[in-house]
Formats: sequence, C-alpha cells, structure tokens
Amino acid sequence: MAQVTAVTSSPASSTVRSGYWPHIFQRMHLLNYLILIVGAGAMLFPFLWMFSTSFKPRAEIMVFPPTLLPATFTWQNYANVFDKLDITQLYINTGYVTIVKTSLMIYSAALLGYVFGKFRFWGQDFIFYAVLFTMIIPFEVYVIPLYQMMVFAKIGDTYSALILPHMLSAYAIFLFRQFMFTIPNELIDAARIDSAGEWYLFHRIILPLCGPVLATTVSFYFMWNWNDFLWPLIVITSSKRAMLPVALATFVEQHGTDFGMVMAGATLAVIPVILIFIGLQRYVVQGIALTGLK
Amino acid sequence: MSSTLSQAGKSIRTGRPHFTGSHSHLPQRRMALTVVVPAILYYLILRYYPVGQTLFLSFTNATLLAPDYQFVGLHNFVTIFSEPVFLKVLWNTTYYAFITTALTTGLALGIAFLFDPIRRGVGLLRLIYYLPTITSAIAIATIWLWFYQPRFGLFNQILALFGTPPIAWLNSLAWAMPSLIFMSVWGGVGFSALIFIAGLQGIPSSLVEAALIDGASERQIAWHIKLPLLSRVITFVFVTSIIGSFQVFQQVYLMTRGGPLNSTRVLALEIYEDAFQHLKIGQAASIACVLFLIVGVLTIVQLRLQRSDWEL
Amino acid sequence: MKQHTFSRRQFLQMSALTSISITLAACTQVAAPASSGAAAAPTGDKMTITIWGWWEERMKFFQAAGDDYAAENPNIEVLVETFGDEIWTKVFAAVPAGTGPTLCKMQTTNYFKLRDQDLLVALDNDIFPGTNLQEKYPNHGWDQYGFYCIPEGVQTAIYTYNKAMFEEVGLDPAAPPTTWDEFFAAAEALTVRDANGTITRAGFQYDDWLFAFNPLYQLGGMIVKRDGDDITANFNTPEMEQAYQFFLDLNQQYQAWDPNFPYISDAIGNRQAATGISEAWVHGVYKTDFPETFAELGFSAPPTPTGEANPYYGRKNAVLSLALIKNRPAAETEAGLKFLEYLVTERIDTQFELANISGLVPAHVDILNSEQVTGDEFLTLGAQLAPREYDTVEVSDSLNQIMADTLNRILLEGQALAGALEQGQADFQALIDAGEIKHVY
Repeated sequence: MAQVTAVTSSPASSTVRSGYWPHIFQRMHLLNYLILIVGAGAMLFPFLWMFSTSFKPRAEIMVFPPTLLPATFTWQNYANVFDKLDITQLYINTGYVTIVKTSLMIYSAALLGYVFGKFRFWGQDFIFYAVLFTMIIPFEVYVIPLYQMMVFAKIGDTYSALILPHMLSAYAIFLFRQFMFTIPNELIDAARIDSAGEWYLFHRIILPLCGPVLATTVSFYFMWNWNDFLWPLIVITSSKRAMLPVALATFVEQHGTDFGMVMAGATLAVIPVILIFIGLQRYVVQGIALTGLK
Repeated sequence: MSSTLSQAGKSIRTGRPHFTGSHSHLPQRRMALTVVVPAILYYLILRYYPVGQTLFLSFTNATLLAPDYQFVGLHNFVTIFSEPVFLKVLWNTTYYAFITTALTTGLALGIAFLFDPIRRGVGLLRLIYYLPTITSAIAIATIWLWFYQPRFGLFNQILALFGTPPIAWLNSLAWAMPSLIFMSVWGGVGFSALIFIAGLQGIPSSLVEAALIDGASERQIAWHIKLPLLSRVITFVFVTSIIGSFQVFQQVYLMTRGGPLNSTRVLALEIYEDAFQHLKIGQAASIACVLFLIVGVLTIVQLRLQRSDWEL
Repeated sequence: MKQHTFSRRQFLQMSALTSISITLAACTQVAAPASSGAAAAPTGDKMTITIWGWWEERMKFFQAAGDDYAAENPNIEVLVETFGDEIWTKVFAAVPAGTGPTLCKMQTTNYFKLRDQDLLVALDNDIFPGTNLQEKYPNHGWDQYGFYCIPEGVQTAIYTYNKAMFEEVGLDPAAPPTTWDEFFAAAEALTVRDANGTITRAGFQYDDWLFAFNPLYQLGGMIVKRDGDDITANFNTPEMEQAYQFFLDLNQQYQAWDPNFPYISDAIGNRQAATGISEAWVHGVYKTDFPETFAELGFSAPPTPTGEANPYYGRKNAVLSLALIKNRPAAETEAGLKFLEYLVTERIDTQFELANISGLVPAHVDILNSEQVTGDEFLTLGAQLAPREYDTVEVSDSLNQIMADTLNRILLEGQALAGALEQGQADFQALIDAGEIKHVY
C-alpha cells in the first residue's frame, strides 16, 4: 500500500512499481513517443507544407521534384495578400463577431444550465428536452427560412443577423446543466439564507465555480464561431462586414492559380485560431477531465 | 468537490434541490421565468418555426425563386426514392459515414492509449493532433486539393519519385471516395483522441492501482480494465461521429462536387444542388427530411445504448 | 455514484456532439417560398449603386467606370462587390428577399433562371436610343423573351497554341492547324512524355464546359430536334458520336490528351499543355494571370473537319453584361438604369476593354473596322469569327453534367461509345421532360 501511495493524484497509469519492470516501461514509453511523433508529423505535414509554400516564389512551386523548404525565401506572397485582402479588417470583423457570439452563448448557457439544473418548475423536463431536441436538427434544414426572417426583421447584412440565430446553444446548455448537478445544494441554500439575491447568487457564486466548463466551452465555441462559413456567406454581402472564412473562400477561387499567395492567405486565416488554442489548450483538456472526475 | 465533502462524512445532496424551509420561492420563480420564457420563445421562433416551414415545404413543389407553390403530398418523396441516383447517394453517405467513423474512432483510441502513460511534451503533441480540427474547411480543402491533383499533385509527385504512374485520386472511380475518407479521418482523429484522452484520465487511479497490485501488466490493464470502462465514451463518440458524418458537405462540395459519376455524391450535397441548382426547394426539403430522419434514428439508438445500466 | 458517471459521460457526450456535429455540419439550405420584403432604402444623401460579379479582372472595369460616373454625379456612389463561385448562392438567397444588388453581372444559365422568375427588370426595347443594341446582337432572343440585360459581347470557341512549343517541335507558329487532321498531328507532336510513358506535357487540353458542342456544331449537328416549340433530345446521333470520337481519339489514338490535367487555363498558363480549344474569355485569364506565358501564346480559329471556313467554328454564345435586379427601392433602380445608360452610350471604351478579356466585339460593321479592333490581335480574330449563331437551346449545368458523365462513362467505366450516348440521350430527355431545358431559339 505504502508503495502505491507514491502515486500522484492524477491519472492512474503513471503508477510505477519502481524496480519492477523499469526497462520495459521505459521502452514502452519511448515507443509511444515514437509512434505519436510520427503521427504528429502526419497531422502537421499539410500545415507545414502550406506554411512553406507560402514563402516560395511562383516558379519554385511548380518545380518537380517538390522541395520541402523554400529554396528561395520570399515575403512577396504575403505582401500580395495584404494588397488584395484587407486582412486587418477581416480579423477585426471576425474577431468581434466571434467574441460577442461566444460570450453570449456561454453566458446564456450557464444561466439556462443553472435554472434547468437547480430549479424546479412546471414543465421543466419537457422544455429541456425540447431544447435538447434542436441539437439534432441539421442546420441546412432551416437555413433559408431563417434568413428570410432576418430580412423580414430588417436586419439583413448586419452583425445582429449573424449573432442572433446562434446566441443560444443547446449543447452548451446541456453541458452547464450537467455541471450544475455537481454543485452542492447546500451551498446555494446557504447563500440564500444569507439573503443573497438570486442574480447575485448566480454571478458571484455559481459562475465562478464553473471555471473548467467555462474554459472548455469558450475554447470550443470560439473555434466553431470563428470558422463558421455558411451563415456568414448568406447573411453578409458587403465587403466591409466580410468574415474571414468566407473571404478566404472567395480569395481562393479568384486567385487559385497563384498558389503561393493562396497558401499565404490560408496561413493568415489559420494562425489566430491556432494561437488562441495554444493559449487555452491546457484548459480544454483540463476542463473535459475535471468535470468528469469525482 | 462534492466528493471531498462526502469524504468528510457529511451527506451532501446534489442535483436538484428540494425547496425546504421557509424561504420565499418568489425570487426563484421570478428568475426562472425571466430566464426560461425568453429561451422558449427563442427556440420556438428561431428553430422550430423554420424547421416547421421546411417540413411543410417537403410536401409542396415550391421553387427557390418563385413565391407560389402547390401541395403535392408525398410526390417529392416518391420521386427521390425512385431515382437510382438517390439510392446511390444514400449508399455513398452511409458508406462514408461508417468507414470514416470506424477508422477515426479506432485510430483515436489507439492514439489516446499511446498518450496515456506519457507526461512530458504532452501539451504540444496534443495540440498538433488537434490542429486539423480547429482549421477552417476551406484552408484544409485548398491544401488537400493540391495534394490530390490528378496529374501534378504532391501525392502523385511522390509516387513518381518511386516510379509509379500517377493515380487520378479525386477523378478516379476507385479512389475518389477513399481520398475523401482519408482526408476526413486525418481531420477528425485529433478531436476524438482528445475525448478519449480525457476519458482515460478520468479513470479512477484506485482501480488501476488495485490491478497493478494483483500483478497485471500495463497491457492487460489497458485491455481488460480501461477499454471496458471507456466503452460508454467510445459508443458515444462513435454514434455522434456517424451523425456528424452523415451531414458531411463542405469536404465534398469543395473537393469533388459529387465526384466522378456520382461516386462521392452525398445527401447534403444533394439537398444543396436541388435547392440552388435545380431550384426545387420542395424536393430539397424532402431530402432534408430524410436526412433528419436518419439522424433522429441514430440519436435514438445512441440514447438507448446509453440508457442501459452501467455502474462504474 | 451514478450521478457522476452520468455527468462525465454526458459531458463528454456534449463536447463531442458539439464539435463533431457542428464542426462537420453541412452547409446546405432549404428555402421557404420567397417572401417579398423590400430592403430599407439607403439613408444618407448618397445613393449607392451596388454591382455584383465574380471575376475581379472584369469587375475592375465596372468599378473604374463607376468611379468616373460618381465623380460626375456627386450624389451617387458605385460599389462593386466580387464574390467567387458562391455568388449564385448569395444571389438566389438575396434577390427574392430584396437584399440583392442594384445591378448584377449575368451568366447565361443563371440569367435564364432569374429572368424566368421575374426577378430582373425588363428594359424597354428602344432603350438607350442611338445605340442599336438589337441590331448589334440580333440573336439574343429579344423578340421572344424581352430585353433584360445589356449584352457585353459574344463568345466564340478559339484555338490557343503556344508558339514557342510549336517552334520546338518544328511546327510553323504562324500557321496553326486548320483541319482536324493537322490538329491531331500537331497535338501528337507536341506531347512530351517521361521515361514511364506518362504525359508530362499534354499536346491538348479542353475546356470542360459543354465541350462536345464545338465539334458537334462543326459537323452540323444539333442537340435537340425541334417541332415548333417542342423539343426532344437529340443526343444520340452520328454527329455526336463523331464529336465524342474527337476527344476519344485525342486520348486513345494520339495520346495527346489526359483529362486529369489541370483546368485549361492553369495547364496552358503553367506550360503543362501546348494547345487548347476553349471559350474566348479564357484569353483574358492568360493575360492577367499568366503574363509570361501569354507572350508566347497565339490564337486562331478552331480547326474544322475539312479546313474550310465555317460559321460553326464551334459553340458561340452571348456574353451577358449587367442586368437590373428587382426588389430594390425604386429610386435605386432608377439610378441603376441611368448608370447603365452611361455605360452603354458614353463608355464604349469599357466595352472594348471588357471585350478584350472576356468576349468579342459585337457584330456591327463600324465597330469591326475601328482602330481599337484592328489594332488588337485578339479582337481582330474575334471580329473575323464574328458570330451570328447562338445556342439553339438554353444551356444548363445539368446538361454539362450529362456531357461530362457520358465522357466519364467511356473513359472511367470503359463503356462503349454507343451505350454511353444512349444513356446520355435518356438523361437529356429526362432533363427536358422535367422542364429544365425550356427555351429554344
């Protein structure tokens, strides 16, 4: 027993019976690393290739056999992209919409998750399942009627039209509700005894407890909202409100022949999300794991 | 949290509270109302109503640009099921969904188990596996279209280095669907792997310790303890992946548009083209209903599989 | 505890469901009957005319003309927006809903759809007096269907060849092939293969849009049989058989053509192909995207079976320019009309610039002899090929698909030509029966 309590509180498999199978253990891990790194190489390769091509001059891209690293390094492709696309504006537009959408989504999901999880009211289960049901409806099934509603409400081609239909997310609500189940009622009762207002309770006590779930959902939804393609395609028509994925699609179609420039555009489109993910990725896995742990 | 408290000996009730005591329920009722009623309205107006419109459309012969239409009952459904192309579409979509999901889930499991015992450098590696998931489809399609270019693409150039004649990939009957599947597996494996990794991390260490004490090897532990414990998650990931794969659109639209001789034509593409090329939104709506039905059935299957009692 | 496993399980469920279902979500749409809602009229003192198009190089000319127009009319602003392939998704979603542009560049297949659904503003027949548009474009179907779009020019099929490569293999760059036999011989000679026999430079590349029409028309074939206003499919004919054989020979007998090569403009532009037969607008792509290769290119009339000059050098169709879109505020449509008038009457230079990249000049005597035409090799060729004929039926994407499928059945599935044509015939007839091919000229 004493031997085994040397174990860390996290994942079970780091349990080592020191001295028992040291050799094999080390080998296995090395093998793991090896395979994983090869796999990671396969994951990474297209991105590396995209990145490398974006720095190649036109002549080199068509050359055979293909070169992995650019023999001639050039910034020209990026210069061309900045010339043809207002990248800064696209970043700002997409960033703004994504942040607003994600914040609204997560906040409302937390709120609704709390109410569905910790309150009792008539028809609660039915309403909740009705909300859940919308999850399995594929978006394509209701896109155009939705668009026409936006037009009818006179908000076509505005950010409101982009944000409104995606303000609530049934998934996120479900997630938060599940999480709410793990919050002890006594905590809430105690706060109520202290005459804490209901909203104060939510904002000051419940929300802070949701840390891990918040981080996870924010990461997922930020990425999803950033990459949203179809809805911005239909809704936004003026170029000053254009969103990045749609602009990139048009850009690729217009200039498909200038492959280096296309890859530069794609790189620019991908980098912000990657950076954000690098920052948040620790929380992503933590969030998934923590919530599930007892 | 609650576990620590329960270890402290107090019996803590979680889940929904019973409102005991003399607190007034009014503030709670008010909050519930303010929160739930707008949500109900939201879903009614922005989800159920448009979906209802679509269901309604599937029984008409409405067209995209014209405002008038007539009821045609089940005519649309009869039409689509009597077209041989539509049956091929159903087959293609099913084939794609199952193969992609099986491969993705299997690989993801393998990767997760490989990740399980290691500690260092995990963050970076995990991120790399996750990269394809967070990239937008158009960027991925652009790169892979170049890989798969039927004559001069990167893959064919690599084949040429080995003296093999080029394969027409997306232009070839035999290779078009596998090419799409391969790209999708590449794109999806990281995400499922992440879920499985988290699942593995959630396995209580006490169980593994006990097994180790009993003399089990790592491999035995993995196979006989961890895998069965993950089975819920695996089922779940599997079914939801299939649901998602049934709705595949962007990859097909950007890469093959239905592929050589309809070999990669899928349901979602069919809906899109019926609506935007043939302008037949009544028919497109009926196909959307079929898709909806399939997704619904799969969801029910998933719920059933999860309802079965499984104490951990 | 059951509660916790439920939470973990459901949490994982949600995470996966979220990203998998949503991230992989298809983007297709289903529409409700279009609601007519006129968008709010633009506020502010400037009236904005929006023009939508898909080819940036072409839209640049409209923007330049628009800027000049705005300079003369300070209360007007002209805004050109360029979208890619998705433009028609946008147009079909926006126009019925009233959020479309003022003017839109038209493309034949989608022009028909919009016109038939009454989403384009009809223009008076004697619009822009003094311009003689009907005379210049006699075969636009004005009498039958009305005047809905300013024409830009007419396309023909052209033969593109790389003069440098001609010299390389000993062909005379000043004497491009005029007969099919010469053409096959040239394509064969220009093909370069590697040690394994795989083609590294194709002698020929085709334009995959309605490719079979070119040889078909040259042989005097027709794709439909007319009986007054009724049409029946005429896909399975000896002429069509010969037309397909044209491509099959290139692929199998002369081995100068590999359909797996990149699209014609990329292939020729990147020197991966030596010759090609395409629509005239591809000329503009070489000019703008591949300037170095463009310097080596020559253009001529497509070779005909016997070499004699033939009005049916291949498929010709109208290049449609801007159409006025409905469901916009009346004042905006009015302003759009004035801008159209400006373009047609005062900005003939824009017409020439556009013709230079996308089509050929109208068949009108005084323009054909003008300096602008005679001074430009491409426009001169265009004037010589001055088309008089037009598609006999309105073409659609579905028809193109049938043509492509027929070819693929032979090349990929190994079907016999006769059988493939029979299937094409059946499919085409089904298309006609379904009402997709409605208009005959």
